[in-house]
Amino acid sequence: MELPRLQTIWETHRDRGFEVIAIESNRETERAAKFIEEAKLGFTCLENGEDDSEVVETVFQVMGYPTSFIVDRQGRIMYYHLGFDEGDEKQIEEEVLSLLEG
Amino acid sequence: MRRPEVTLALVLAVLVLLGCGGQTEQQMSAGAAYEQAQETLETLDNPQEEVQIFEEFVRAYPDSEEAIDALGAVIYLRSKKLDDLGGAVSFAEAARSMAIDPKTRFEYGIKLHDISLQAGHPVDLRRIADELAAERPLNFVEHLSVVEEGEKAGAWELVFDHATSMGQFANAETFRSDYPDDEFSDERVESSVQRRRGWAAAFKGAALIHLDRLDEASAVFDEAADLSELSNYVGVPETPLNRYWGKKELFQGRPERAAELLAPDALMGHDESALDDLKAAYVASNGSEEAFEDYILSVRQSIATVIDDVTLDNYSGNPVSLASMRGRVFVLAFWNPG
Repeated sequence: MELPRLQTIWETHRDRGFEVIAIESNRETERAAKFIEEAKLGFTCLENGEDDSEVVETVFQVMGYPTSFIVDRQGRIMYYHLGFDEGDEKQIEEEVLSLLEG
Repeated sequence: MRRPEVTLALVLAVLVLLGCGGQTEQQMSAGAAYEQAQETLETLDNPQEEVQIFEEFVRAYPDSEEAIDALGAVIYLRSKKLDDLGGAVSFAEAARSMAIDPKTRFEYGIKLHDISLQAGHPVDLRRIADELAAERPLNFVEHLSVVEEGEKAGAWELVFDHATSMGQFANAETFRSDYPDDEFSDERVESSVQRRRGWAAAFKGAALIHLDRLDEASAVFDEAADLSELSNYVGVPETPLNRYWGKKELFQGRPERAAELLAPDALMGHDESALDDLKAAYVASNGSEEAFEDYILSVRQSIATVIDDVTLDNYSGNPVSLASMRGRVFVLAFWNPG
C-alpha cells in the first residue's frame, strides 16, 4: 500500500517544505476516514467532489489506482507513477529529493 | 478441409440453437468450477500445487473463458516461480490442442507464441492468425494481439499486414458495431476511433521502418500527424505513434525532431526503448553522452504539465486549494480504500 510509505517520506522531509496530498477517488468517506485514522496519516487528505465537481477523472484523467503526481515548486508535474509495487517508495523519495534540492 | 474438432463445435452450436442448452450449462459449470478452484488456491501456498489446480481446470474446461486466464496463470507459475520455461511451453501447446473453439485456439496461440519466443523457439505466429482468419475475420483487438506478438518476434511483414487491417476498424460505424450492447456518446466514439487510428498508424509505420521502407513510413506518420497530441493529463501519449515516429526521425538523421517526439514516452511514460532512442538522439546531436542527465531534467521541465488548481474538502469539511501548495514540492496521490 502506497499511503503508509508516503507517510514515512513525509515525516522525513516535511520540514523542508514537502507535502503529500491524497485524494480518495470514490467518495467512500467512512472507509477512507477509518483507513486514514488507523494508518495515522498526518498529511492532507481530501475527498473527491461529486458529479460535476468530480475532479479525479474529469480534471486529472486518472486511469488506475494508485496514481501519483510529483509536483515541483512551480506547480509542474515532473514525475508520474501509475500503480505501486513494494520498493517504488525509494524511487519516489529520490524524485522528491531531487526537486527539493533543485 | 475441415478439422474434425471444428465439426464437433458445429454440432454443439446446433444443439444450442435447438434449445438443448448444453453449451450454456457447460459455461455456467466452468464459472462455478473456477470459483471453486480459486477457493482451493487460497488454502495453498506453493506454486507446484497451484499450477496443478490451474492445469486441471484447463484440461476440464479447455474452451471456457476462464481457461484462458488459467493458462496465463500456468505459464506465469511455471516460467517465473518454478523455473520451468519448457514446461510452460509444453502445457500451452497441449492446451491449444485441447481447445475446439477457433477464438479460444487463437487466444491460446497468442500466449503460446509469447512464451515459446521467450524460450527461444517461437511457434509460427502467422499460422495462428491464419487459422482464425479461415473461420471468420479477426476483430481490432485480435489484429492488435498479432501485431504486438509480431513486434516482439521482429516479424515485420506480418505486423505490416495486420496493422494495415487495424486501420480498417478506425471508424465510428465499426467501433459501435464492435460493442452492440453499449451506448457510447459521439465524443467517446470519436476519441476511441482516433486511438484506433493512432495504434494502426504506429505499427504500420514501425513495420515500414524495419522493412527499410522509410519513405512509406514517413507518409504513414504524416497522415497521422493530427494524432500526435493525443495524450493524458500528464502528457503520456495514448498510442505508440510518437515513439515510432521519433525512431524514424532518428534513422533519417533528424535527432532534434526525434527527441521532441520521444521525450514524453521516455520521461513520463517510463518507456525504456523510447529512453534509449532519446539518448541516441542526444548523442547524435551532441557527440557524446556528457551532461545527458542535465538535458533530461531541462526537457522534463519543458514538457511538464502545470497542475490545475482545484479546491476540495478535507475530512473536517474545510476547503483546500492546490494552488496554496505553490512554492512547495508535493506528491498528489490518488487512491481508494479498495
